[in-house]
Amino acid sequence: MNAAIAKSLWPACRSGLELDRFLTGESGESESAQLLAHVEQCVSCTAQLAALRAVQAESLPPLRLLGAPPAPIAPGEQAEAGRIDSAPLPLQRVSDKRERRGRWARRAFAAAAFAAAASMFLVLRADQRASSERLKGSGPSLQMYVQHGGEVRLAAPGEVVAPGDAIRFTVGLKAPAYVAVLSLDPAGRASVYFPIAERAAQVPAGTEVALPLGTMLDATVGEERVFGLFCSSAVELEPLRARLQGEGLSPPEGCQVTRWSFVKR
Amino acid sequence: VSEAGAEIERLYRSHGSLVLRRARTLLGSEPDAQEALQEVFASLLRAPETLRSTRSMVGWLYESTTHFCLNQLRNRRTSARLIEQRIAPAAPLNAGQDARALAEVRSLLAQLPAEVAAALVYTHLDGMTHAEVARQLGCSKRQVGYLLERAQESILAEEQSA
Repeated sequence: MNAAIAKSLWPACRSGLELDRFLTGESGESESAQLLAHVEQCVSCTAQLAALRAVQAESLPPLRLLGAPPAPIAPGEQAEAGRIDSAPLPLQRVSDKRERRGRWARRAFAAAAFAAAASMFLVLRADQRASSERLKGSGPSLQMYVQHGGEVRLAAPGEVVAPGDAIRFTVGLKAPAYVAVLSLDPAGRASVYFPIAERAAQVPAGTEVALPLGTMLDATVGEERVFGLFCSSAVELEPLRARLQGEGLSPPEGCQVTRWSFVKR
Repeated sequence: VSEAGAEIERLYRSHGSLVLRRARTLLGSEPDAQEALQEVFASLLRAPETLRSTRSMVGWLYESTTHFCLNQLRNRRTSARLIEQRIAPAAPLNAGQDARALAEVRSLLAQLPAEVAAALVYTHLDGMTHAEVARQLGCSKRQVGYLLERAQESILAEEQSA
């Protein structure tokens, strides 16, 4: 980082701290008068002050932790974004969806309050009330990383991404499992992100195992739904992809599904 | 809502934009900057006595935002190691010099010791004088000079190894 670049990062001669103290009314009278006298004669400080005022005029989202207290999450419950299913996923009636959205909002609020302080990782753990179809002793998780403009970040449910971004998935498994990642794009087309094979691929146990393929996102904008499939055998993927595109995904016996989404725009 | 809560809400409305602006610059991601905004004010709710004890609320918000964002950059660096080697490269953006320089700075900040990184942020991203940085860090101007020298050495070492 040379001096020219460093200067371009803060283009005014008065610091951001000084301008912010002025804008928020924290500066004393003489300090403010002195600053204004300078700003009147300085093009770069005038421009920077205007830029700061423009940001100041932006409306902020509600302050999250000052709202109503979140509804408690019952043991074993998750925000819907991190739900794991082992039974077929029937199409929902509209009224069901509304109800579920309300529950999701309450649970997501609670989950966010807890998760934000602890970690930015999205951990999709199995419901503790495990059914017999689940992988014994497993608690599979799915995370997605996004590379945008040379920077890599961990994605959260509903993450906003852009066409041309590269994405890659990692999984957490207590025991080896056969894994696949499927998606349903905004146009309703189903595809298999991982693996490029006819059947789910075996993945070793580990807390964060990177799946070996990255994907460059195409130009189709909208919400894309992602399904992580964790199975006890190498299930065939084409029938599942076709079903996902038609009536919805029904996990085969011995499989668990994690579901979440991202928004491309 | 408690009295402290109402005061924090007012402070959020009047000062939140400066936290959001700096977090956007430091993190280069809108969702991450929004998260930083919430976290910085949530930390005030957990320690409301800060409202009374701090000499400059703007200074405190600068410090808190810098601390949170530098931690995020370090966490990202750890996460990035997982995928950098094999992920397909993303299409380059039409980034100007500032965007490229900022990406370069973020990568560097993630590797520097916390105090050195903070001195670099205040000096180059916020345009503070050595005296302002010294007040912000609670150290002498000489110490600021020393921290920036260490940052410079790291930059040179990085350039030589590249």
